[in-house]
Amino acid sequence: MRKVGGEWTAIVDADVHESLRSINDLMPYLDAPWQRYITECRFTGIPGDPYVATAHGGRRADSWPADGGPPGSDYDLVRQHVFDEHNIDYLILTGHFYRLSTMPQSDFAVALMSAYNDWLIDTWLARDSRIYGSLQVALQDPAATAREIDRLGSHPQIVQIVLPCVAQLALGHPAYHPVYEAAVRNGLAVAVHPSSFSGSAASAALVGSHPRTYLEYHQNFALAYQAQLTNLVLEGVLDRFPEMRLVLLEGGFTWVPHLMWTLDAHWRSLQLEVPWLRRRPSEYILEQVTFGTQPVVVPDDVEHLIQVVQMFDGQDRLLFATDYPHWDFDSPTQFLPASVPTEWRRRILGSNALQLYGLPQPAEPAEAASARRAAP
Amino acid sequence: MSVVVCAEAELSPGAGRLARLRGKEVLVVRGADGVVRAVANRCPHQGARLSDGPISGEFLYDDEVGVTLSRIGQVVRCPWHNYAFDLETGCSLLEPDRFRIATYPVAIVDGNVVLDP
Repeated sequence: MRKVGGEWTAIVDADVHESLRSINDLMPYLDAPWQRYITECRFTGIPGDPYVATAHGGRRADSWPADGGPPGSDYDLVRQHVFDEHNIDYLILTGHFYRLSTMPQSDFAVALMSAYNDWLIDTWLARDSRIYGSLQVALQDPAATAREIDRLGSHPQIVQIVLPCVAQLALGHPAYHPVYEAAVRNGLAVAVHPSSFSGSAASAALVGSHPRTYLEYHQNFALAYQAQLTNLVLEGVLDRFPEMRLVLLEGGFTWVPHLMWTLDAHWRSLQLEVPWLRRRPSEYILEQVTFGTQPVVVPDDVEHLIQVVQMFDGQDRLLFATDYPHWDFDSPTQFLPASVPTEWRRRILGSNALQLYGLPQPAEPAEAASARRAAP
Repeated sequence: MSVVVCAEAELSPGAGRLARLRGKEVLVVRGADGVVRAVANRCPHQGARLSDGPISGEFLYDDEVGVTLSRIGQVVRCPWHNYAFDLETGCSLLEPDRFRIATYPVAIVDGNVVLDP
């Protein structure tokens, strides 16, 4: 907790990436045939984007553990950089494994999904009750993914499933309904995170070629998010599953008013194509979607940021996130300009996430509680 | 009051050392040109310690020769958002009027790197 405007404020970090030390970490959780994919067939991990991340390889330069493992693989360093240095109360792990859904070899992907989720629970959730987790999915096989969500969805520290921003089908495709149905059945949110090709696929679809810079690739995450949210709304997923809570991480939020306005405007004229929508498109967004803040972009005139948040009541639907250990990490004390209203800051830092995920209110620091007891 | 950072031989070109001056962390860096420069160790954007970031150079572009790297060892990049600062002036390479870190006098004195000589 941290004092914000004189009051103790819970801080929840909605996007932290745990990492395997190596794919061998999953060996104990895989059946024999799939173990052979690693030992005999030399599978080392799911291929990522073919881009050089030109900011420290995509990770904070100070996030590499001393033992030589990858950033996000060392519990003690994560604890130091997230919990200890920033007084964060809870963190939500989202992993790096959502690329799984882009693997063509679907049976192996399903095996990896279950292995990873078991490893996540054993390695991270069992170790620290302040850590919450996201189930990885294999969207190639929606039925197997739904079974996986039923298998582990009731774990008290599992709060959501996490989907890649670009999968084999648009996220609103009916093939994925069993996945959303299972998430809702288990009371889990549905998070979306940039993954392989999130920026490049959006570019290629729109302008005909993959970007030749990481900057352009990274910039275009927001395009992919707008396309996926549009698809989820218009295909009726949010209508079909009114209890579904969608959490869009690392895709920006300043575009949300634009999307709401244009969707409503075009729906007024073209509604005959989407008669299954029982409400205005913007209403689904306002009622069922939250957005991660990271990376916050601050315009030259800070007032413009405040205005854009106001346009979609973002103070009630933004979740603070550091994105640790990634290079564009946001600090909870520095991520918003000083002129952002204190009450907004308190909601965005913690209470929105406490409510969304049903997390317990963290205890105030001992000295604060004892000071209050001592008061007459 | 001057502070001895290290012996000159201990600070090779392209390398940096941390020191403290009047209670503040100072990053002392030797450029590939052999010159030693010193700046405040805190990024003005979100407060990261610059000493955790790479000591770099300036990437330039020319139609004839393409991308080149110059002023090696005269730029530090923030370990988080990769903001680049000119160690000579303390200014952001891209937005010198918007972001700036303090610079400190530093020199080689009797074979030692000395802050505030």
